[in-house]
Amino acid sequence: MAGNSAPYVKTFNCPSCGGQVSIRASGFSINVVCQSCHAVIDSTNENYKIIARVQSKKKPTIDIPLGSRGKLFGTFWEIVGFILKEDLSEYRWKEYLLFNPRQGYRWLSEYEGHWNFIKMTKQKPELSGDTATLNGKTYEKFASNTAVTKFVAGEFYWQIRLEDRCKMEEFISPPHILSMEYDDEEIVWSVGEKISSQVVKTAFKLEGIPKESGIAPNQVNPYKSNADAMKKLAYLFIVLAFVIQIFSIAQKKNLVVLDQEFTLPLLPQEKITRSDSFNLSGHPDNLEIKMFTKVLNSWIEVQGEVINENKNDEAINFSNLVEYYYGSDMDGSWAEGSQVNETTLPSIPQGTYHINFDSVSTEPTINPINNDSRKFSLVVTRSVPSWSNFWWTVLILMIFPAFYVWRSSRFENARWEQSSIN
Amino acid sequence: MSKTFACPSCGADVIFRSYFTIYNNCSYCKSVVVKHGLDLEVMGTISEPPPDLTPLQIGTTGIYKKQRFEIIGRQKVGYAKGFWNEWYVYFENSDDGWVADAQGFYLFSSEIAHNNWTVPLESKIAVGEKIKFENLPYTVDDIKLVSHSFSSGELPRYNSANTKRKSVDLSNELNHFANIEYYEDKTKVFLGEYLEFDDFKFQNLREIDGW
Repeated sequence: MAGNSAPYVKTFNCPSCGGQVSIRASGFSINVVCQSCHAVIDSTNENYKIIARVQSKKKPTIDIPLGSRGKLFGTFWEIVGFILKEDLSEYRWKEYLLFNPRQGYRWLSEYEGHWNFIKMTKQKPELSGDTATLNGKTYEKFASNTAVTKFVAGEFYWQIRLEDRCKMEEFISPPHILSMEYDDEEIVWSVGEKISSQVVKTAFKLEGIPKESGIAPNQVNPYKSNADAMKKLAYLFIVLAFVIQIFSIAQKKNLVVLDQEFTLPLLPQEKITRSDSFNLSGHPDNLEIKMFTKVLNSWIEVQGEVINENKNDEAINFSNLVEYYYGSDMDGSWAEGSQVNETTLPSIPQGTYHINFDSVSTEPTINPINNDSRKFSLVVTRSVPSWSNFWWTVLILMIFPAFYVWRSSRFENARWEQSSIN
Repeated sequence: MSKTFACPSCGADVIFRSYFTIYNNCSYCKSVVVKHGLDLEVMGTISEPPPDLTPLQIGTTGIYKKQRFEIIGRQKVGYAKGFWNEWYVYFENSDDGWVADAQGFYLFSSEIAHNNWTVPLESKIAVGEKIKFENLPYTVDDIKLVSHSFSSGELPRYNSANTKRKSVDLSNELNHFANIEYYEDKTKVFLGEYLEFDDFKFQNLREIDGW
């Protein structure tokens, strides 16, 4: 709705230096700062009383020149005021007052290259503990601070005072920030939204803009959405893997093809030759070799090979260690290991097989008299249900979300390190 | 239900659109007329509107709660820290109300009947105090001593430069607005809400140079 005619600008002479002072938001502004001598002038009436004459000689860089216009969120705004503020830790930030005669006022604030578009609200958020709720959105308390006005330029719709101290509290819900500024007279709430410096640069056709550094209090965590998406994706795949696993287990035959008892030789060098032959049929499938022993405070280790009689005695190596210890001490009785152990060989094709033992070793002190303890049996099962592949899949699927959750929490830690709320 | 009176100064028709109008202008001779019963009294002539960038004007129409209204009067109000405009609006269904534009905030309010015991005494009211109106709690935001610098069109009150008025603004979590006006001889209560400029769907806005 920008008209063609020149904007109405009221001018008068600065009572301090005589320079020309112009008022852009006529009828709105009540304090104007002289561009030449930086005196703050009361413009409520034509007496033009000087409120403050001296301002810091060091004029800060005003990155968006006063009087420039830019379109943000569909509305043209004119920069009418500038304030440099500082907190008690001497952190400085800049505030630009934006004006549109129809839409009223907004603010742009800049700290370390991070920009917020801010709107004052008359609506009072509900406070409870360290949170504030406005329109159903909950904000977390981030900072409690004091802002001191260090330098002003342009014009303002309220009485501006240099070195004025104002207490403030900030609550965040990225990309939004809720701030409460208060003094003895009033409480002012405003809602800000982080906008990219590129948006500001483009809107006001700026040549340069302060470089962004660090993390803004209300910066959106870039890893959080990835972490959430990855989590969802991982859960989806885990469910899928689980369904596939259930189907594959349902197809397992769990067929015992060999159940044979062996006795350990008295001398370890002696070989136990071979098992009976057994047949495997159907598609290649896994083979479980389960060893049942009677070891007590002892162990048996078997090194063997599964021999395919149809395929030129092709051998598949396996080993199986069984150990079982028990006893009692001050804490009571204890047991460790098991008398049973199994090994699973993947994808064994059909054919006739037997098992050869290369070596069977055991505790040298094993009681040679007790025949029972030297006995063990092998149970070979074809097509057993196995969960190990499933768990490996789950583990791998969890790596991606875990990575993003880690990055996300690192980001949050960096954000909250700057918080003055503990 | 508009009523037509003859201007006591020039005899031209002065139309009173709202039943509640007391203050009016003769569009022909620019006299300020104030209604006493059935008589009109001339109280000088209207002054030039102050130079400002308010987008509203007498004749601007808008919508509030689906009802169409038209701005028929304006009063510019001043206080120690600035100004705001109060626009008297008249609805097609004969209701009236106020649209205020203050430092870029817009709000609608209309007067409610009140009992004296629901409103604290002028001397007792303080910032932060909670007051209930129509079963909703409000908190006092500020208390201002106001003056009247410019009036035009139809207004349901006549405030001269000497009129003393204390204006108390209240609000709540629901963006509702309440206002208590303490005059020397009476107290008035207004209820309404803060709205965005676009919410009113204004038409026939004033053209602002350069905007």
